[in-house]
Amino acid sequence: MIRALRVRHRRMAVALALVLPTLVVAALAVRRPIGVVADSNPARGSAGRVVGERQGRYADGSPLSVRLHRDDATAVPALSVSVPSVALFGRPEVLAYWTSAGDGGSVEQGTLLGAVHGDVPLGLPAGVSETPGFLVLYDLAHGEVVATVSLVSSTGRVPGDAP
Amino acid sequence: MSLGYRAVGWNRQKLRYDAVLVGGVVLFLAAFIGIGAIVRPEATVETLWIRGLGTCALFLLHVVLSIGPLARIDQRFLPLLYNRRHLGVATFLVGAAHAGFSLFQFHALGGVDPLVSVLTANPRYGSLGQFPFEVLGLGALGVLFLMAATSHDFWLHNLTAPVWKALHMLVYPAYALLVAHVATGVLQAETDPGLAVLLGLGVLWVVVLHVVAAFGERPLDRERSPDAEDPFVDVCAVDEIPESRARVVTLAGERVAVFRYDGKVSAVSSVCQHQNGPLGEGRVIDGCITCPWHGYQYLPETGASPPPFTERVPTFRVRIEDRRVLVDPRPNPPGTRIEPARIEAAGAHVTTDEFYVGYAPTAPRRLAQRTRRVAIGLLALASVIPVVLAVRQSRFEDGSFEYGTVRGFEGILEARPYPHLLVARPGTPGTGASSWSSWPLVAFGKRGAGEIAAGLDGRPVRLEGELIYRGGRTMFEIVGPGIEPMPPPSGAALLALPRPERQDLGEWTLVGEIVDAKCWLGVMKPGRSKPHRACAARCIAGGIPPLFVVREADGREEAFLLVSSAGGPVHAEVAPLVAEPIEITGRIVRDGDRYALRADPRTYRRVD
Repeated sequence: MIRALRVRHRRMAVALALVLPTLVVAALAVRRPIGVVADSNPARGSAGRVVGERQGRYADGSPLSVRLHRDDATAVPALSVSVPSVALFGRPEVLAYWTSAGDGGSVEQGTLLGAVHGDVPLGLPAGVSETPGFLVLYDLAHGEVVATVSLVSSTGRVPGDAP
Repeated sequence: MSLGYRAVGWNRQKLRYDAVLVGGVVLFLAAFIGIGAIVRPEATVETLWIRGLGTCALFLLHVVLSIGPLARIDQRFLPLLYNRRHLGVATFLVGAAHAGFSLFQFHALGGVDPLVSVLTANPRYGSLGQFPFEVLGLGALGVLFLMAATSHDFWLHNLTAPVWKALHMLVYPAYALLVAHVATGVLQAETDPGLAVLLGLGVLWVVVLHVVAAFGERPLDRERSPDAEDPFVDVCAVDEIPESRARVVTLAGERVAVFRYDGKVSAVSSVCQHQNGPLGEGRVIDGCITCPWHGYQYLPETGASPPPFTERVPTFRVRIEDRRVLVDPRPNPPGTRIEPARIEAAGAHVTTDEFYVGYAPTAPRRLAQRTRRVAIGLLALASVIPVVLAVRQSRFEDGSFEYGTVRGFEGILEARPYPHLLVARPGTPGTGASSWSSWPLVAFGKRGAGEIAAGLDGRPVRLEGELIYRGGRTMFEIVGPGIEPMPPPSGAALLALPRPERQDLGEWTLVGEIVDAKCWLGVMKPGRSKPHRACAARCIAGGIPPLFVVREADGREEAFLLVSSAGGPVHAEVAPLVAEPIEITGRIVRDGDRYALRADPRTYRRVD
């Protein structure tokens, strides 16, 4: 290299030594997380107390756990069910149905509880213990049942349901 | 040395050099993409390629920038310098592939030319954290292109070596741009400290090497001047110059190489005419001064390359008095024959260090062994670094895009606030359950479905397309013509069903991030945060519904459809606010199972 370029290189090396570490540190210092909020779902928080947890399986055999809630604040204590949203990662909209055993798990004959969404509890029909049945999770976009869960405990009743 | 212009003057060393280079690039990409696919199976292959190519180019640039100063500090690194231009061209090609994939992924298939999009999608030039990092990468790529395009000796010869070298010193600004590109880009979202440490180590390595090399040479540039009585300058004792080697001094503004060979001393400019390499660090081989960089040769007495070659360097008059070498600092025109000074008594010491000439059939044994070890070390780095990078990158979202799987659905199309399909749910609705699923509709690329859905508002339709979904949320990309109204009476049953109920859930103030629904739901990984900012802005401006994603302390996320305070769509006005912390105060309205946040976009506030 000719001398003028050597001088330029020397100056550039000093400039890079000063600028680059500063730039990297400054860029890392200004990183900001998006932030979190205490509660963002107005539909949450009205589920009442958790009275039970039932285990089931997805169609592919992987385990699924659902929670039963009882809300005593209403005139007639209401039962609801929630499905952890983590269970739905990687799935389209999943609808929850209550189907009686006699319907053979058909969602066409079942009672639509709603779309499973962010742990929001879905109200169960009154007297679910009186009619043997299942909670069915149905993937509408693919037209397939993704899980079936029995809500009945070893006592033969749905936990939290009125005797 | 060559007489004519050839694309590449191949020889054994260059072939080996390039084989290692290609092997290293393949190894790097295979390690990053292979390990990335294993540890992050949710990642899309495009993302792995983009990241793999980008990190590979940055790694190559670190190698390129290390060779020069290493060779200055220790001449045993000179074999790496011999074919450095191929390394530079490879760096550009890998970087260009990274840019090409990124340009297509983040900027193409929208309403704006991709290159225009790079410059305009993110207007936050005044913010360091939100700076449009793509522009920095584009600038660096431009410089690398300029260097790659002019790397051939054709340009070196026609531009002249000083201009060519000055041009190629733009690699330092290009490196700075790339470091800034990474620091203000992917590192704004990837918070693993290991990644920042790796970049920091790379930067430190490069700047320390260059500072050490640059300042290590400084003493050599101290000028020696003649005294008033004698125009010749005393440069050294004869015995200080090893046989066939040179002593370098700075005279009249430039370095001069004083060579000792065969009982004679000659002085020529130390600046090789080929690439301005340090001739004074060369050696006299076969009677010719041989440049250590690329082996260009000059006769010591004339400074001219032996025929048929035509390069010439200035010569200097030399005399010896009392075994001291004296040089006239006034250069003679290049190629001027100057009689060498004779050394009366021989007895020079001979150096035994090996000297590398790239076009020689074989390299000296010890030098070849060392170069092999360095190459193996570089290949090891090219396999370890990508593994670290692949493992350290954060987890991607779980969304899915059923690209290529076309399905058909029937439902009622609603155009406001954004086109969506109401799909009837089977079964008997229980208390509070909606009979409808509401799936937002989008078109191919970064476009909403507004145009496709025009004139079909409220009508039963049958459409074809591909599903996009994440965490229970579903979207539908219409494919091709893909949509047709259902003739009566086939849609009558759908029209008879009650529409979803609307419920105002009150005013809320939330902090979160604006994303475009399509990418966030599964088309892109990641479909949020800084690296995806330009794409999200382009998608929202193109008509894709914006979502406001809010994260709760326990990790759960809610996504609200953003609408104006009157319930209408919002697009370009919110695009500049994507991918950064935003606070919105508005009313949450539930339509069936869909939650929307109604607020005037002018009241959205950046969270500082």
